[in-house]
Amino acid sequence: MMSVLWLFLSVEVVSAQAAPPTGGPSIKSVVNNLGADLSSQQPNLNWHLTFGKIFWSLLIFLIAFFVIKYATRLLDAFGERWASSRLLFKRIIPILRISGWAFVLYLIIDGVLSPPIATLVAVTASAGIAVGFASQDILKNIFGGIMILFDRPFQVGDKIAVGNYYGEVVQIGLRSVRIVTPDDSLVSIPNSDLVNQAVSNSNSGDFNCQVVAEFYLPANVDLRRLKRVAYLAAACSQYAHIAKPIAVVITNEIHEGRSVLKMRLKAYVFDLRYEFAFKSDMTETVMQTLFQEKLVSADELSGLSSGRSDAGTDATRQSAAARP
Amino acid sequence: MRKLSGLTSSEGDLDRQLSDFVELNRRKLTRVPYIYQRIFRTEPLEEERFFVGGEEPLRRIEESFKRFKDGFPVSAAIIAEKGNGKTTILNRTEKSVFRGTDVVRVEFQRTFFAEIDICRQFALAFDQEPVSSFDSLERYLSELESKRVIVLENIQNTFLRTMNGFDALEKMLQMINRLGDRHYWLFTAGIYGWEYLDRTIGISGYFSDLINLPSFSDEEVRKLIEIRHEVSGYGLNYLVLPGAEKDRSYRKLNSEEQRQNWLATMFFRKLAEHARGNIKTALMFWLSAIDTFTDEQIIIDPTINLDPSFLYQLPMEEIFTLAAFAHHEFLTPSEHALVFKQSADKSLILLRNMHKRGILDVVEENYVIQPFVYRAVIRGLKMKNILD
Repeated sequence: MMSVLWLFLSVEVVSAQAAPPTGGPSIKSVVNNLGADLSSQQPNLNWHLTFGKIFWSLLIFLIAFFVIKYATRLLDAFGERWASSRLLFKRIIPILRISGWAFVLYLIIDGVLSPPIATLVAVTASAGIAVGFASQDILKNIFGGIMILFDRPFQVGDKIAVGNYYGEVVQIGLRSVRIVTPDDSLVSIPNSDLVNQAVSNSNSGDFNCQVVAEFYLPANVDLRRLKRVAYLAAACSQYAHIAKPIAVVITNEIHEGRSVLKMRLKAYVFDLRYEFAFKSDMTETVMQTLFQEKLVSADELSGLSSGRSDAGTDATRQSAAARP
Repeated sequence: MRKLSGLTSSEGDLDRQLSDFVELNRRKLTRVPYIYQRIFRTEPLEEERFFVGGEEPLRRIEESFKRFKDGFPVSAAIIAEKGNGKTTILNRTEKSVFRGTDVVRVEFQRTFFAEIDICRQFALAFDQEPVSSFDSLERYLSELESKRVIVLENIQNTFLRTMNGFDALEKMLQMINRLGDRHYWLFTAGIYGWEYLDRTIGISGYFSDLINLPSFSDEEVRKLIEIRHEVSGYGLNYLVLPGAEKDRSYRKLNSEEQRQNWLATMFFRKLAEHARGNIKTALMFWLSAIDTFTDEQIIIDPTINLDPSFLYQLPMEEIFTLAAFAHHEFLTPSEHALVFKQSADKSLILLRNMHKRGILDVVEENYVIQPFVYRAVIRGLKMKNILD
């Protein structure tokens, strides 16, 4: 660039010499002006990364860490206090984290370090090339995370099923989404996987979700009483969200050549955290009541699942009858 | 912010605060002049001069009764939160709308969920020998010579939240349905128990008229209290709130009367926060605020030293128990055990623990929610999405 400028300057000097005197600025003044311009546009070679800047950057970083941590804890606590708005508070947390750290980064770079723009461009450009090659997958995940935040197929607090995993979304990060499974395992699913496959959302932002308990029963069970037992089992549960409907759906299926009734008891739990406790409660109550009221027997139920053992028993009886 | 969010620990002092508050008020109450206690008793009203509002429900009962007298089968229900005037409305109705008619009141002052126990309550009300089934009861009621007004109070106490706990109530409702043109049936029910019954057994379908009593507004609560106080003949003086002298609006006031009005407004605002439209709770807080009294004056301490925020951090077992009490109102340890499918001993330990901490009160082996925290409990259950 400097050589180009000097070339330009020489051309100016030659043309000034060649041109007849017109009363315009002199060659000397043009050269002096150009020199002054060049001086003012010189890169700032006086910028240094001092101990003070490092110290203040670290201090701001630490303060921001604790502030964001406390704010997150506060929002969590608000969510526990006002349970019906818990999901809303949880959704604010990733937004708070991302925007908070983005602001802190800006503050440190612009306010504390204040590198010259050329330095900043040079550093980020060279780092960007290296990082870009090394972290293609990470970038895919980051873009996936941004898409999830904008598209919102699910949010923090939702219960989702992805592939073989089912659980509550506890964190939506830039690289991965973390879910807690019913077995209390924390699973990190890369965002790029999430955006490329189907995600089933159980509650879609709602505080309660539908819970389904399934039963296989003999075809000759008293349906009227069965439906009443099922309905009350859900309604009497301490976990039931009684404001939403309870449904008993009965279908007929064939298992091992035998007709069985499949009953699906569908009810809403007041807090999706108690999904499995509610399912267990409904199942226990239904089964216990069916036995107590003699609507089904243990033999009938074991007969439903032992088609093979029945056949085996029959073959044994036949061969015993055939023997002299 | 820590207190609002619940980050402040609720163990220890806060937990004991309620039991200390209740015990202190029990002792305070014994020193309040008897006449003042009678005026501010929380039992249903008999005296017309203390009534505020209630014209609309009375009108609707009158219309419903008129339809019954014209030959239509009618059954009506008055639904309101506990302590919000259902029985008071009944008392007024008996004196006005049902004047000249035989009125029989069947009361369910604790939980009855067996057919034989409900029939016994009917027998008590009719002054008859108890019968063991609704069939016998139905025969008796259909053979009565004259038409009666039969009032069933606290219908939410006639079921238990168990698999067989609705049978007796449903049978009774079917009996009442069949006798709808024979007698005028009027029920009262607590709102949360009613809503639960409506969603489980569709209780609303058995009634032709549903009369909901709304909560009292803050102004109505204040008016109710001031009317009663005026009748007592005592003067009223509010102690200065701590920190009031730092308040600019208080310092600007010139006369003692203005300052007293300011203190009264601040007190009733705080009272409204605790009572939330429930008149029984408001009256209890009013009595608890009496600091001292002279022959001429009652002196009110406007600070209400009760922080119910610890309720929001109770373990879920206790939260579920409070939800059961919101539906049932009264539960014995054995009934609690049936509802939660656990041993009676475990229920007894839990209920005694909650009673010791002042969350529950006990009336002849029946546990109820402590009236001082009733509204806070309801609010907490709604925040947890357990009640709507």
